[in-house]
Amino acid sequence: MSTFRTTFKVLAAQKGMIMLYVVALGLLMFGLGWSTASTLGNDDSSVAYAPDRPEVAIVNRDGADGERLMEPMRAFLAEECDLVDVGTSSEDLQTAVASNYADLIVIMPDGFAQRFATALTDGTASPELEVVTSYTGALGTLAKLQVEDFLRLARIETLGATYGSTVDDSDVANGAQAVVDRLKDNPGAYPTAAVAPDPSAVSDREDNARIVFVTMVKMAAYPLLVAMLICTALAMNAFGGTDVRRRLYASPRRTGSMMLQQFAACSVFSMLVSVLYLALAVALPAVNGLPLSGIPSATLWLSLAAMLVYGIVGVACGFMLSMLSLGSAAVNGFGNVFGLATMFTSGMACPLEMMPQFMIDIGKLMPGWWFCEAVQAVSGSKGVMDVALWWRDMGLVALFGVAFVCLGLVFSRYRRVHPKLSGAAVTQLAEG
Amino acid sequence: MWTTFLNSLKVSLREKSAVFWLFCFPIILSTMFMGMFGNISQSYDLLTMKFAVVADDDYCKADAARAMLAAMQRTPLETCDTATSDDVDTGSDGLKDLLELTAVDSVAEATDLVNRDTEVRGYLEADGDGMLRMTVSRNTVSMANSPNTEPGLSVSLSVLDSALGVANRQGIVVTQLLERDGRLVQDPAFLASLQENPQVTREVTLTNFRPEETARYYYALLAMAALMAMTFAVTSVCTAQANLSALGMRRSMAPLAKWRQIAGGFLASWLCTFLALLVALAYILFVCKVSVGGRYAASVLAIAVASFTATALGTFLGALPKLGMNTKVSLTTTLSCGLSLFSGLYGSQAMLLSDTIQRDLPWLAAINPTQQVTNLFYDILYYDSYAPFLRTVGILLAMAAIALAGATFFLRRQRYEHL
Repeated sequence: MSTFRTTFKVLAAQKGMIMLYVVALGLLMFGLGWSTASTLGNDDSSVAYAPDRPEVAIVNRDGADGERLMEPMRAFLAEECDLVDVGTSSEDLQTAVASNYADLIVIMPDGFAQRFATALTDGTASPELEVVTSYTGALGTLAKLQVEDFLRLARIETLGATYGSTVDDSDVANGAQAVVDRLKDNPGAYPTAAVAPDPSAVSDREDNARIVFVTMVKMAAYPLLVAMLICTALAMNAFGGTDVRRRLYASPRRTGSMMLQQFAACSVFSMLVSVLYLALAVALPAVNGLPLSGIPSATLWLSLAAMLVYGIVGVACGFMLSMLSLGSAAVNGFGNVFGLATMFTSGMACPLEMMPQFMIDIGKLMPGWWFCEAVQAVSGSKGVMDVALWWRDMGLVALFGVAFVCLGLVFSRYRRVHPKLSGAAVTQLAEG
Repeated sequence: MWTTFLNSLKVSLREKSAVFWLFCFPIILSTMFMGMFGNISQSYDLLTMKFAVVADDDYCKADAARAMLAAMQRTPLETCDTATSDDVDTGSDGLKDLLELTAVDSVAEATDLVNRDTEVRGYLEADGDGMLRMTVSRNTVSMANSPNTEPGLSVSLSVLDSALGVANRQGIVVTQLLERDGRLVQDPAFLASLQENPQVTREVTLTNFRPEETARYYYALLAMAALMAMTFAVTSVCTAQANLSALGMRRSMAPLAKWRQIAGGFLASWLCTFLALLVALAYILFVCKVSVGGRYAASVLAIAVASFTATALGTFLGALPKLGMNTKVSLTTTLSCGLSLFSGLYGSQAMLLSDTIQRDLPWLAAINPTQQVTNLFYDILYYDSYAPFLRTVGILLAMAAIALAGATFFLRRQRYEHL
């Protein structure tokens, strides 16, 4: 037990490392999940579903004439879009496009209102608004659809109001305003999507609590793996220094027993961290006002079990690295690359649908993928709780741990059999 | 000093693990990004959604509504004993596969169906005025709210909701106009306008180069790699400090001014960082095919500035008192990983966070070196003028100056109580 206790002391001596990886990295990832939690915390879809609202910026370069058309356009778009101000200068607009500040930027060019009126009188081609659609999705296209709908209705309204006479820009402005007035109080104009009552389903807010919890547990996959891997590798490296190892070899203890105690101490530490992360995952929906009764008890306990096993897999990976006697920079580098690879291929950072099949295949070679699959199996999504699938996925996660331990033992044996590899080749710095 | 520079350079380049990670780390992650973003455009594709439609008398009377729904199906549902025209313009291309409809007789039957079958997203119904309404199932709401699950679902529902609004609004405006002025029924110009859908918008490009979503991740990666490379400077400073290594003890006895030792190490670290980032940039440009809009010279200058700032920050970290070398190296890694969260490296949510900080808390973005390094490449690619690029260069150089001042404060006339 003395090795077990000593390992704990070594871990405790690495306060900086623990603060950096366990606390800071964990908080960063949970902070990232905060936006999901706060969005769902403020959302209430119990009777109506609010579709996504595109962000639209409108820039007028047509002076007062354009403003008279822009004003009703803003009122029309505000019903189903969020209007944002991105500035008017060339640099402002370039910043808005580059940084994706709006899903759609609409620019009314100089003389647009007058040319729009002329086109209605002459029956010639309509002038065009300049638009910049965001590169990040379909919301910009959706907003463009709204802009086109507004101009189409303004056109119909103006033609109907003027009935064969000449149209000028004030007619267009009046027609546009009439469209807004006509639609303002009509409930069918901006239809709201209702939510079908389902007596067997949990309430909307309970479901949101479940979604936030499951998202947070999946997000723990990155910090838990990286923190456990690096803390374990560096703690075990403390026992792997040339002088320390010589002394340990000379002690009346079996090497295997000492290694086992080191591993057990790191595993206990990983369990504590897993419980800490689970507590954060539970706290997040609660802090955002969502009822914890929405988290099914099976989801809670099986997620905890999954995190415990996954944390120990991180310990096993750290054990493997420590047997390679890598330096601090290499351990940090490996830990972060492995952690990021796990995060990007497990589906917690980006939707799996956007990844090609070969990346999914690579993801399946990482423990993070199976951890996320296991959590998803018991997430209660679509009312399904597949415990058999959870066992299968967690079995695979555990196998990764077994593989890491086996590799670590191989490296350890190789190091014992070839001691010169860890000794100084020609010169050795005299450490104070 | 030049001897120190050369020896520091040799030591840095002989440290295999550091060199491997700092040169290979960005290449490994870039390759991963290249694979990951292969299908990114598909993630924005609209889903084909199964919906029920309540085929009652109101629905059968709503000819315009039925025609609009038919235009959103690959194989239009035939109900109400009438064939439906499928050449209605919904105002946008690509909606042909949005819906797959199943007819039911009543709202109760539709509710039962959507609660029983999770594949059916909801149901549509028409009221007595021909206005369409959408109802979605509780399960659909749950799926749409879950991040990274069925990414196209939420926007597909929004598009459907919007299309229903377009149809309803036209119905309201035309009906009320005709009620107000019956002569319009005789007006061919007015009637023609109802059928027309003229082009009223034109897509333009405001930026120097058309933005790509994936490019942002590569820039954020370059920023992270720059900060990871602070390790070179941290190691260089630590090996010059007598309380951190035996080599440091010997160097403190050498007949060479400390500033010359530090300066030699600084220059060597800067060169190593610059080379590591240059390799990463070349890989990203020529293998991953991420563009810098032809502004290669500015990109190399950006790398030089980024590596200078990273080296200065590394020198500051290395000079921090009361911390061991391992802790400083770990601090370097954690800082680069942590700050990269705010420059958007970790996926779409992180990118959203980065954009929000840039827009709403610009001072916070200004003090984040990873965000500023990322911005260097934005500035090169997206702005016509070089003014924003030079501004960002100024911010990074100011950061470097502050870091070097801090490092000088800690390293100057350092005394050790015991070694």
